[in-house]
Amino acid sequence: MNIQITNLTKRYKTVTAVDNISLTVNSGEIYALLGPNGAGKSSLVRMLVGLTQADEGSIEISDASGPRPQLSPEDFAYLPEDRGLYQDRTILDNLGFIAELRGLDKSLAQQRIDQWLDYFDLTERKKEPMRQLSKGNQQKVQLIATLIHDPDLVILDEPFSGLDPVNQEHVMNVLTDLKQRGKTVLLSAHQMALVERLADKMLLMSHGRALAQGTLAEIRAKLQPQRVYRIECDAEVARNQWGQHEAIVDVSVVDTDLAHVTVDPYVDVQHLWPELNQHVPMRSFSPLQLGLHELYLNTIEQNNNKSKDVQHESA
Amino acid sequence: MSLLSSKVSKIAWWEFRRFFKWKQELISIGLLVVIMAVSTGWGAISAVFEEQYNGAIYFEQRANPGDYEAPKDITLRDAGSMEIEKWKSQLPETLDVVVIVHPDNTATLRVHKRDDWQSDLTDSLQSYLQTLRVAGLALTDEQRAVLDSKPEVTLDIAQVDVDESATDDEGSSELGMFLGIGISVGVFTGFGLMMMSITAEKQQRVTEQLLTIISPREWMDGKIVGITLHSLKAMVFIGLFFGAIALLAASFSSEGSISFTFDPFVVIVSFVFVLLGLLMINAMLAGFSATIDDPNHSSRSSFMLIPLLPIFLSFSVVDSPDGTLAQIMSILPVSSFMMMPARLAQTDVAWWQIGLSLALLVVSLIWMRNVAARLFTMGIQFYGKEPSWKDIWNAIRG
Repeated sequence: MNIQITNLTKRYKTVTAVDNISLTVNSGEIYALLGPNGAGKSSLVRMLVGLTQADEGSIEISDASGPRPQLSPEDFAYLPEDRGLYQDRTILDNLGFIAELRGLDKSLAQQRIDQWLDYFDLTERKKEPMRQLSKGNQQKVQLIATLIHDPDLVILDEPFSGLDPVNQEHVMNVLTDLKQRGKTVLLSAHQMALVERLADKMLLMSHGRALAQGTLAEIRAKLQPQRVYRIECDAEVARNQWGQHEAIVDVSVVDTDLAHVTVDPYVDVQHLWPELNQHVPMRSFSPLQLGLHELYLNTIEQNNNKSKDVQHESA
Repeated sequence: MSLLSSKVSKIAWWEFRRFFKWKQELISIGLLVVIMAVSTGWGAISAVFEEQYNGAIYFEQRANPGDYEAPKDITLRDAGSMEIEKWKSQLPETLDVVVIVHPDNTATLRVHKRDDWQSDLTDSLQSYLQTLRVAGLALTDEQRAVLDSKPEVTLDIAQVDVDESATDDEGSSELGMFLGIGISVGVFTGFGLMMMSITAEKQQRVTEQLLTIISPREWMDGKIVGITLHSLKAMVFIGLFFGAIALLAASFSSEGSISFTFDPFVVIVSFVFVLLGLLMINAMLAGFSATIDDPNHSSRSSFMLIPLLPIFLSFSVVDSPDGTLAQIMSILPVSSFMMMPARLAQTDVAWWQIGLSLALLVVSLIWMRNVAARLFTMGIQFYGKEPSWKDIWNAIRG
């Protein structure tokens, strides 16, 4: 199932929660929405699943047979950010009710519930009321309720929150399995290391706007245009000597014999290295690629600073 | 969309089971069974535990001796003058009472201590001695007959088309009141459960996921039907409970039994009115509840009592079923589901009134069901806050 979102905008009285967002999710992809709290990820997802209506823009859904007028409940699953199940009912009651509403017949529902409970080690606790479960276990039951009907499109808002590393890995495996079976997954998350491993494409949002989108390599190319190198040398001396060089943007001391050096993107490094080596001998050097976590933090920080500057100027 | 589509019936059944607590139900049913068992077997039980009192009676002037009949728990034997003289100084432990009837048709009771059973004996003796007094007067048979009977008062009913059998039914106004109490119980059950159901779901964050599976209207319809089933269950239970209490009360009274007669038409029409009315009121309560975020901190909860006002007002006119106010209230949808059954139980109601009332109730139910769905759809978009009155008004208008 494919999703094509074009110029989507959602406004609440004084706030523009989603501002002119466009994205494409292809069948069999895992697409991640990234951004700090209040970035507009949940608002975007709520429009996608039909809980709220967009003020502007369009959402088009299609599959192998062509365009679909709208998402039907059988086609997709949604795990909301604000989630919960009936606290006074048992795991079985809750899952049985959701499966029934999803239109599964009793025997198939029971079979799937048993499989999922077994996968998440919850079989022994299936007759316990939800309120007796830990937050992590409740989260697992919620995920089962979301996936019980094996939909083609899975939309998950913060699926890893509240889970320990072992169960995060369990959920990673589930999502990888969905992708391998050709399902489309759209998720939002804060766990960058997991998203980096999992997502085919991503959208980085802030204040309702798109800051960058595409594959990790594309995002890195956009958000990390400067070249940063990891150089083994006498770091303090290097900072003093190279810091004055016109081709060097920044030298940061990581350790006594390790520095991260940011080079002007327009300089030919093949000629630069011998010159630098004359001042401070280099034992080794290699390009440094920032992880998604660092890219995310740097970009959000830069964006926040820009917003403050704009506000300051307009004031 | 049908009020009882497959999904709606699943939600209704879920809602019913959600608030159906087996333990509490079994306790209530157990209590009911005990009351019914006690009421039906009370005669035998009271016979076993009834205390008997022994005494003696002495007529100082034996003009009309022997025809006094003491209450059934008191046995009096005739005493002689010597015994009475002896007992004046000390009443023996074997006797609970000695009755001395004086020549002037007064009496003295000599007892060990004051007790409740003595008032029955006193009443019985007073009645007997009054008869002796009247017998002692120089009256003709005709005069005695006049004294023994009450003057007749005839009820002349001017309305010729009224069914005498309906109006003459003893206790029909009590039946109307009883119906009113039952319906109030049903409404209050719906009030509590609907508020709890919708606001708890919001707080437990259940709603958002479910609304991607089903539409707000299906969700509301399911809730309305499920909670209405609870209202009916509460009414049936309260009916049985009061019935058991009535049986118990009857077993205490001298009449000893109660009997009910039902007109099947009245029962069926009343049931239809009550069912539609409960559905409409629960739809109204569902809409209100959907605008409340947290019932502990919302000032709006008290506004939910306003729709219940006409039901309370109905109590004031339930015993005059042909009054103008009762007729109006039996047609207005906010009170007709209570007043119409109450009137049907007591009097003949014109066909056009039943038809008009029923039509208005059905239209109101459909409208209220739509409003509830619109309010719910609007309410879920207010995350962590409540919609304003203006928002609510806009949603009601659609």
